[in-house]
Amino acid sequence: MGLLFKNSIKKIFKSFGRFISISVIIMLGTGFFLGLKESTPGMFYTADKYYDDSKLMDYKITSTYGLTDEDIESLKNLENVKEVIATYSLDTMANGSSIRLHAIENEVNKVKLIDGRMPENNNECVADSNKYQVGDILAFDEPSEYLNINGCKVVGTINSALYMFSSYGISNSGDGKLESFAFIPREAFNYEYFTESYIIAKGTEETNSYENEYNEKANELYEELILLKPIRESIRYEEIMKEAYDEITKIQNELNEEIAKNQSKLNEAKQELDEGQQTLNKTKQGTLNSINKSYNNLINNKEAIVNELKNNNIEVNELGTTINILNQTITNLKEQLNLIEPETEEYKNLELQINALETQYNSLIEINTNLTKIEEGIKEIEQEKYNFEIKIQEEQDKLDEGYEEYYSGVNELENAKKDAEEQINKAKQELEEIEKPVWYLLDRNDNTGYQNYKDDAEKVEAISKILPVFFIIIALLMCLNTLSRLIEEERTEIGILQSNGFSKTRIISSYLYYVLTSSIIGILVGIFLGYQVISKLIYGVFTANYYLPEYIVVVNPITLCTIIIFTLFLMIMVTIIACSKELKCKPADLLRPKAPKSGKKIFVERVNFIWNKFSFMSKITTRNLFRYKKRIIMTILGVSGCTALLLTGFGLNDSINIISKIQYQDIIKYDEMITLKDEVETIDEKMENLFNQDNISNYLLINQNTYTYKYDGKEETVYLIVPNNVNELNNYISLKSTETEKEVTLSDDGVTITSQMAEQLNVDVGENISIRNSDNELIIMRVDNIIYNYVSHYIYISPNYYEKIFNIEPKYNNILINGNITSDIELEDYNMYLITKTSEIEDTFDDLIKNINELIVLVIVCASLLAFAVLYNLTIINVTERKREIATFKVLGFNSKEIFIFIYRETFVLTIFGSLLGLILGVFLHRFVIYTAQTGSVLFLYNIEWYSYVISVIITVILSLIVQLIINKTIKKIDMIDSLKYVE
Amino acid sequence: MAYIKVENLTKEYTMGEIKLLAVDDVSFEISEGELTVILGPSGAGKTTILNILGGMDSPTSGSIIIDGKDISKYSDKKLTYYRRNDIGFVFQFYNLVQNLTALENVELASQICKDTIPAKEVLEKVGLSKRMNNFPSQLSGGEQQRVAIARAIAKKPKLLLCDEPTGALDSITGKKVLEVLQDIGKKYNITIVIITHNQIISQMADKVIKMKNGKISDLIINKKPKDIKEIDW
Repeated sequence: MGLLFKNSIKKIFKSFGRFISISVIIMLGTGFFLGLKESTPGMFYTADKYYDDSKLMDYKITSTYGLTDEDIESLKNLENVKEVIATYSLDTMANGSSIRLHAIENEVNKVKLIDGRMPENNNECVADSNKYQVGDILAFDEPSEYLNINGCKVVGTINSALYMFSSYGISNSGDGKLESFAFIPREAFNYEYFTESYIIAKGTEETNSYENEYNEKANELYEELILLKPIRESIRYEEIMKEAYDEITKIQNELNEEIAKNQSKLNEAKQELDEGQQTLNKTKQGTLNSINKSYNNLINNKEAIVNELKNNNIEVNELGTTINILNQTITNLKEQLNLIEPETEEYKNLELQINALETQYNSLIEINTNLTKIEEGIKEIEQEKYNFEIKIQEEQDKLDEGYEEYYSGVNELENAKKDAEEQINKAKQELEEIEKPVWYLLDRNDNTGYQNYKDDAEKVEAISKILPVFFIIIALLMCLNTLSRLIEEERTEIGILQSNGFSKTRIISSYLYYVLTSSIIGILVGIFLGYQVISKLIYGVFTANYYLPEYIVVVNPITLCTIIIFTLFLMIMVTIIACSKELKCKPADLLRPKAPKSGKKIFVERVNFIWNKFSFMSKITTRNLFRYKKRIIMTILGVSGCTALLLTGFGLNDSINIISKIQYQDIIKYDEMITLKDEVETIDEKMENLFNQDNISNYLLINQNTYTYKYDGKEETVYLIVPNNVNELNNYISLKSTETEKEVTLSDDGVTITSQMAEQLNVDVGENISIRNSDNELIIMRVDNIIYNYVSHYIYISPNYYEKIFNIEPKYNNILINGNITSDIELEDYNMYLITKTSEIEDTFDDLIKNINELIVLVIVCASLLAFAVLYNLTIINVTERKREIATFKVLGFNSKEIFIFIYRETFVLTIFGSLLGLILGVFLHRFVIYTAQTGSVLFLYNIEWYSYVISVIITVILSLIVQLIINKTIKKIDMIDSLKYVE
Repeated sequence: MAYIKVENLTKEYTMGEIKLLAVDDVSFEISEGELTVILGPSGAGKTTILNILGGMDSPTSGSIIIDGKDISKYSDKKLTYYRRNDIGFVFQFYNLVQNLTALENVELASQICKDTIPAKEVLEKVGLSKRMNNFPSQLSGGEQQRVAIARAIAKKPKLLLCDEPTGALDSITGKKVLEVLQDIGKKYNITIVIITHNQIISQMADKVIKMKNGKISDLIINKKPKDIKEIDW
């Protein structure tokens, strides 16, 4: 055994090229197979590990009114919840671009630090590693009431599983596109409520994110959440309402209190006034009484005097005159007296008379004085009264003023009361209009990257479904051919070993050493190539737009073992069978070389008129072609397989690349789509002015909404589009019927659907389809037309049919325009939410399929390598089998060019023939690959460009030529003398 | 003037560390139209000489002047054209192309040489006019060797080299083959060199070169070579 083993080792070095070629073919086969097959699981695993490591949330809940502690508590109480984290975020603008700020959390959505460190205080943050560097300053464009800071310093750069894709999604600030993100300490936020809550479901971490198991686990929680949602919404609504009512009541109470306070103040004032009035009245009365009394006394006195006078027959008003007369009389009398002798009687009488008159006069004077006094008193009293009355009037005036004030106060209070009531009523009315809070339940699929990544990985999977199998079959077939040929060549040695008494088992095992060594080297290198090179290459290509950690190799033991066991089993079987075949012969026969296959006439020779037209060389070539049937079959199989792979590769490229052109240039014709904030019925003047300003004359209002439908247990999203004007729709979106190849107009008794949807639902024109809205309500519509479309699914419906189906008139939420909005506008000012350019969508789509193109390049390269290895092997076999013939030609004087052509003619014919067969095979393989890859919402065309056929054949032919040139060296090395010495 | 002049021909093979002197300083001359037999046991170096004469191998030293041209210094390409135009080979094991009929095997010559004898004519000359369309496997050894001779002759070579042409044939068949060789040589005036270890064959030669251990041991010139029919086998 030792010697046989040694012999095997020596054989390896002796026929190193052959040995290596077996290894290389096996390496290519297993490498390509494992690389493609295992990429998708690896991609999924790498992503899943990243999600697990960063504790990516399973669900995110936001509410239109924020979340309260009670909300969080109720979430925590759910059965399938593992972790509930209530936290904050805010969309804002920093340094002129939109940014989303998150609170740093350790239990969910952990960030991956790329550079620097985590923040230590509120003024520090960690930010998007793709946009910022450590040391950058984030200065917020406007201070926010929800933040305690106006900016922060970037102390670390990060990646986040929330932002794993190059496009971050929509932002509430700026132009609607989120540019970057940053994480800041929780304490830097200043919210009354939590803005969002992240939830990790029980058991999801243990599952693989993109597998059903995960969906099942996550769904268990979803069922609970969907039940909790309306409850919490109602409770929160009631809370808000109660709070608002409480507030109103409080205000009402305050107002009432105020009113009461004012009322009592007024009352007090009134009382004071009343008291003043009373006092005044009293004073007035008393004083007037006493004055009147005095006055009356004086009047009485005067009257008494007047009466006395009257008694003396003197009128009061004659009193003065009387006195004057009396006085005159007295004076006259006195003068008379003076003329009369004193002591005369007459005198005496007169004197007596004068005395009497003087007494009278004196009393009259006294009376007059008294009267004057009384009259003066009366006058005084009257003055006094007058003065008093003025004073009283003044007092009264003051009081009256007070009263006036009081009454205006009362009035004011009344008004104030009315106002307050009005205000409260208004507040109550407003309260009635408060909308119910809405909880938004987001899962991981709302993360753009998460969903896209799945799509990408599935694309790899789709392509890996059949190609690697085809590839490894060709590889193994070629390997087996080489192997059986190799053993045939070893017949002499087998004969020697057998004649020397080695047992069959030992002889076979001697060859098994060789075969197994070669196979195992091939498999080992192939495994390395597959897992470490091809898988990583595919991962690198497909994650160019993602921010993900390095690829983690995932080995599926079943796939790996299957391929190893399958390959080794085949190799061992072929070795045993080939050896056994030789061992059946007698050793003596084996020691003689196998006679070359004898010549035979082929059927073409019997058709003389054809055969005679052949040149001498053509005759030889034709006959040689049919001489070694196994070689022909193998060559044709190998070459056609490789051409088929090449054509499939190029064909895939054609099928995929043409989509974006057809979809975004031929089908979707509008330049921009404006998504409106609020639905409208017509375009308002402002918008019209904008359109005029930007020279946009063509626009169409549409309503676009998403619905879903199910097929094969899968759920697809479909857009329902209602145009404002059915006749204009074709100017914006080409509705080309798959039946008539002509553009159709929407009718009023059916919808127009896209072909892929029709295919998935297996419906035809005239049949009904059913779709579901977001409330899971079923909507049934009749299909009127089926049109060409390649990306996403659409249902086009006329406004009239829409009304029939939905019982409401459509309102429009999008505007399609031909032209571009060039004015620099604030979208919000025009009721716009977003402007989507068709060209940008096309670019994005092209970016995505660029990945597939690179995968296709890999397929093409591998197919070429395989083609090369296959051709090399077959030609080497061809040459060694015909060594003697070649030597004969050399001796005859054929030069190397002539020999090369002679040998190559056959291979060339076979290559061409194999290639052409490969084209046919390739068309089917391409169709099959497209068919199996056809999942989701992108329809690949079964389209192969003419030049792909040409290139596939040319590559095969060029490879075959290169192989021939290499082989030519071998031909030159063939030694004429040695080759001709053998016995025939 | 000799048609072929070999001077001081030496051929040394290096096999690993062992140097083997196959031909050791050999000189001889052959005239045009002569039939020469090189005789000697195996390992004497006669095949080496034949190979060098046929342009299949190059000497280590010495010169081989054929028809005035020294082929010892020829490049591979020149040697190929030398083989093509000037040399005809007949081997012990015929070396016919198995997938070609007798006729086609002879026609191969016309593929590379302009001036050839029509294949049918040559085959008639070697007595195979009735077996032209048979494949080598359908022919006997003698017939195959005659096809090989026809193929060599068709090129109208200046020199016909035969390496043990009867080695694989029984004596009667061998005699017939030699007869053909002799006749053809005379008819077309071809210089023939035959290698053999069979003494008897040397009787038909104009010149016999005996070799031993890489050297010429004897050189006999037959003034009257025997006709092949007269030779007793």
